[in-house]
Amino acid sequence: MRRITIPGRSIDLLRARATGQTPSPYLCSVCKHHATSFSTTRIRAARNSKVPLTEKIRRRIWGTDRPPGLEDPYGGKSVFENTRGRAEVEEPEEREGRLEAAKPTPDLSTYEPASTWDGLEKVGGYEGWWEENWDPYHQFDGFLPKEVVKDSDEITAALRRAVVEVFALQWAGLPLRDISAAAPGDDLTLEVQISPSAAGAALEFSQEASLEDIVQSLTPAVEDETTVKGNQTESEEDVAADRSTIDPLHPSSEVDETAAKENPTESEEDVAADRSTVDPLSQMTYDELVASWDPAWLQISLENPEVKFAVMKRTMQLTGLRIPDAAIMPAKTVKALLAHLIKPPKPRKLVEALEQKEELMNLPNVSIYAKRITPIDKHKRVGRWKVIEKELMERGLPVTGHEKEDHAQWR
Amino acid sequence: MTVRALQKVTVSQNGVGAFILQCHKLSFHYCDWAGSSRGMKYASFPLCGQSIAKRFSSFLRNTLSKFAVANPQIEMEVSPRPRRHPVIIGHYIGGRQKAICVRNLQKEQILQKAELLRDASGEKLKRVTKPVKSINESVRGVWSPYHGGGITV
Repeated sequence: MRRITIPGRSIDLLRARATGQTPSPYLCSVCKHHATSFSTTRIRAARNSKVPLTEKIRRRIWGTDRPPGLEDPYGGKSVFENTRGRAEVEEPEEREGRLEAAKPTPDLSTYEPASTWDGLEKVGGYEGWWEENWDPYHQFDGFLPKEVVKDSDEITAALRRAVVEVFALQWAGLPLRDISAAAPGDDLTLEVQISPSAAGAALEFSQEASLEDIVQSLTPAVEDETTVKGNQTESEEDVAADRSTIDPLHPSSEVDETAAKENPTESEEDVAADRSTVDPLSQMTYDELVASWDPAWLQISLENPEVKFAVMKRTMQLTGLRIPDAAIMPAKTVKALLAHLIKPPKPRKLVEALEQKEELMNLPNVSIYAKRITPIDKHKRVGRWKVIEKELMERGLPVTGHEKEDHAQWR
Repeated sequence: MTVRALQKVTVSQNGVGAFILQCHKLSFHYCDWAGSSRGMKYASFPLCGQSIAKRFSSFLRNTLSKFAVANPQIEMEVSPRPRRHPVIIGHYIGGRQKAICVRNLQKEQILQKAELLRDASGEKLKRVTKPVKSINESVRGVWSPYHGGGITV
């Protein structure tokens, strides 16, 4: 029977070298590792005698109990060994100290458990946080207006206004991120002509609305104070604009001032009339306004991401419409963006979809109904329902069978 | 004067001289909410990998207009029937009706059912055992070239 040969242990290397007293003390790290893993009894013995393994190996290598050289060539124990040793020493002492300190000395003779929470200390909760932060004087005012614009011509006008204002800011050399710093006021861009150019867009300002006026309208109302203070962040400006007492939706102060300067002798009634209809252009309906513009402005490029972002931001602020990323990315021109904004909603019912199909609606032999055709409808078609209804009424019977009052009357 | 029977000149037979389609009206019913009306409203399931245009095409949206143009003598009536399966009902000259439920069917299958109702006579289905239906049946039956003595020229 053939015996299985037992592979030589790595510890044998050590033993052979120790006994043979070879002059070379070299031993690879792998062999050292193997040796330590097999010599468990020796490790235990080494622990008991508090002789480190390396020291023992050194002794074995040199063959004497006192090998030459320093006991520890690296100048003391390692950091880990030091900390471990310190912890071993300190642990029992600390534990004793903690036990002494934690010993309570309560007087339980007068203790009564509480049956209600009155008088108990409250832990956690918001206390007056809601009253301080959400009181009616500090209502949350979001970026988007609450009322969403639905008219397509109105949306078109808002988009054009956003484009004109963005390029006006760009012309003025101001950062485009301030496009929505001020709450939207009166539209000054109605008479501004805009057309695509190599640099983006070319603006032609009119006498009523110059570049300065538009830029002025885009700066927040508290601009002077902030410039005096200096270096106020944009968010602070926004907050200040939101909390200002001026109604952001009707900041007609600038126009009123100019009107008053031009005609200081006017009576108050005339001023009031001016306020009601500030601009003759505003009397135009939006569809007339959109039709009066040259459609070339729709070809303005939105390739510049900074311009595109500013236009999107201002459009959302003006209209309240949310523009998804899927519509922002492919929009290369204003026209593409407008196509998304004024896209009619998907019909929810099949009838709405069929009514949009003229080739189907114009057929003489096709009739489409939005509601279920009931038996009463069939009676009505042949003129029978009036007779049936009359007979039912005479007999005091329910006409439709669905109305509660008829049932009550019948019973 | 002797009593004489009224002479019968002709027997009316549809298709002899003129053909009048027996189906005079087809009514299409669907439900806006239920999925079984998908073929009536949508061509196929959205996850079939078809293009968006084809995915959202439907029998009523696309096919019905061509079908109505091809059959101008039939009145088409489209109306919803909420919480019910989609159905096509054929109304016939004899006063009878035939209804076919088209739940879960695709656009092409619905067209097949509509054509079936259009071509039907409106009568009840009967078992057909004779090869020829006639008001003046032949005693000798159908002539066959493979039977008899043949013809010598």
